[in-house]
Amino acid sequence: MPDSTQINAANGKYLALTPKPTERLLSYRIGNLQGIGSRARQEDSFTVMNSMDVTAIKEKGFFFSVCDGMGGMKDGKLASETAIASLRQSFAAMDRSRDLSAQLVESAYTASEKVEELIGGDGGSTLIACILFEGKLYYVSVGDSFLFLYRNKELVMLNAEHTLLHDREIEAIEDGDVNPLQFEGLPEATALTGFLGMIGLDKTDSTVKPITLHNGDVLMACSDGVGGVLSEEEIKQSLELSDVNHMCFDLEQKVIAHHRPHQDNFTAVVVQCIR
Amino acid sequence: MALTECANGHLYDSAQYASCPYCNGGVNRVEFSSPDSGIGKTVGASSVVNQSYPGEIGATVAPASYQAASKPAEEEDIGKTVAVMKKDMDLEPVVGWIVCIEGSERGKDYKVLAKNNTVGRGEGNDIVIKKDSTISRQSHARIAYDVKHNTFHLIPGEGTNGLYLNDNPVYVPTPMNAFDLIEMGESKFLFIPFCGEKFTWQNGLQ
Repeated sequence: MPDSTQINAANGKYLALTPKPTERLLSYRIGNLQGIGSRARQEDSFTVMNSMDVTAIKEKGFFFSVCDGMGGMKDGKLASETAIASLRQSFAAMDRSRDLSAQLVESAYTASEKVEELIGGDGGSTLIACILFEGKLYYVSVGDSFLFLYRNKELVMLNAEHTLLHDREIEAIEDGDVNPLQFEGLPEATALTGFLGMIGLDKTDSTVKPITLHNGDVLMACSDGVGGVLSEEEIKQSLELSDVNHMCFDLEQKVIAHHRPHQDNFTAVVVQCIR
Repeated sequence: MALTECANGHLYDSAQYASCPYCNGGVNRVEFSSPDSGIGKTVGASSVVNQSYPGEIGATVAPASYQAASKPAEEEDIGKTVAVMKKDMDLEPVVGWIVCIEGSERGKDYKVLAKNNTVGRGEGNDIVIKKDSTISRQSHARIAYDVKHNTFHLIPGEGTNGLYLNDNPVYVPTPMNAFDLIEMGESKFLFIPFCGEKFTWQNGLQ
């Protein structure tokens, strides 16, 4: 059992202990990578905030985000840049004494409205946005980008995608049908059913309660140019490396080595948690 | 290596690059004039990015059925709702509405179905009031319709920012009537029953 939790005998629930005064706060080592792939334009955008400022991380938290502008629709880059700019502004203005999960979800809807205003619903962007505050992770996700957590030699994808395929599978499971193979070859399987800038966007995936981070955890937010190209095993091997810059370099080399004829823009932000 | 965070939040090695390599090359920068204006101003190579492009293989796209310009979203929703009602008629037909008359979603209506409807800000609720951050995410309150007696009750939930019916605090399930005023967080709603003396789903129009 991790040392930060204990069992409360009264109700059997796990309770987080308050950190001991001597315990050092988590620090973060951060890296990013981006490539254009075989596309004519770079439509992914990303950002990090407070990465260089330990005091700001302590007082306001660390923020990072990856947005994948939708190609094939109007102006993917404008959409993803607009979303990032809006999210940066929202993060700076958040009230740290109130529920950050809710504020982060609100910031996603605000960004979506700004993208919609600018592009008129005819295009948009996916979103992964994360806040690390007081050793905890808060995230929000829209669309088909990826947020991975590497912990104890295991890789877990934290967010749920908003694609036609995924929606159909959920519907089937809710109807009591658990055959996941029936939707193979579904037309438009990867089409997005939720994205920033969508008229009537009504879904996000987010942390209801924040996730407590441990020493040695690695987080990676990435566009599908990384998450949809590399296998989980390949990603895991990269995130097992000791240094965050090596991780980024290794991921980038692996994407390039796949030699996809239609390699999408690829972007990732990697954060290593160290006590 | 001299790691630097540029103004747009990209990390790069300033020993290797004179300026941020991720920002260069006609990349747009979007600035907002004030937190509430919502108007995005683009700076940079807008002549390049303001065209629309044909689809690329493997590109991130919306389903073909999603069309922004011709407003099919509303029509589709109507079709969907009807289909669900037909299928589930016995279970959850609409029995009333609440209408936001004050607050950030003023002018919007919300369906009350024939069940115990949770009201909250989160998407998992039956009635979702997304934009009022003072309303609890999950189950701020509940609006229950009793099929047997054809009555409505307002039931307190997890909300910490108040629940009032006609200006009285609600601590226990309280019966509701037409045009009762519900206050939650910073929003006010009027309750409009559809089922009542004149109509019920069991007995039809009286």
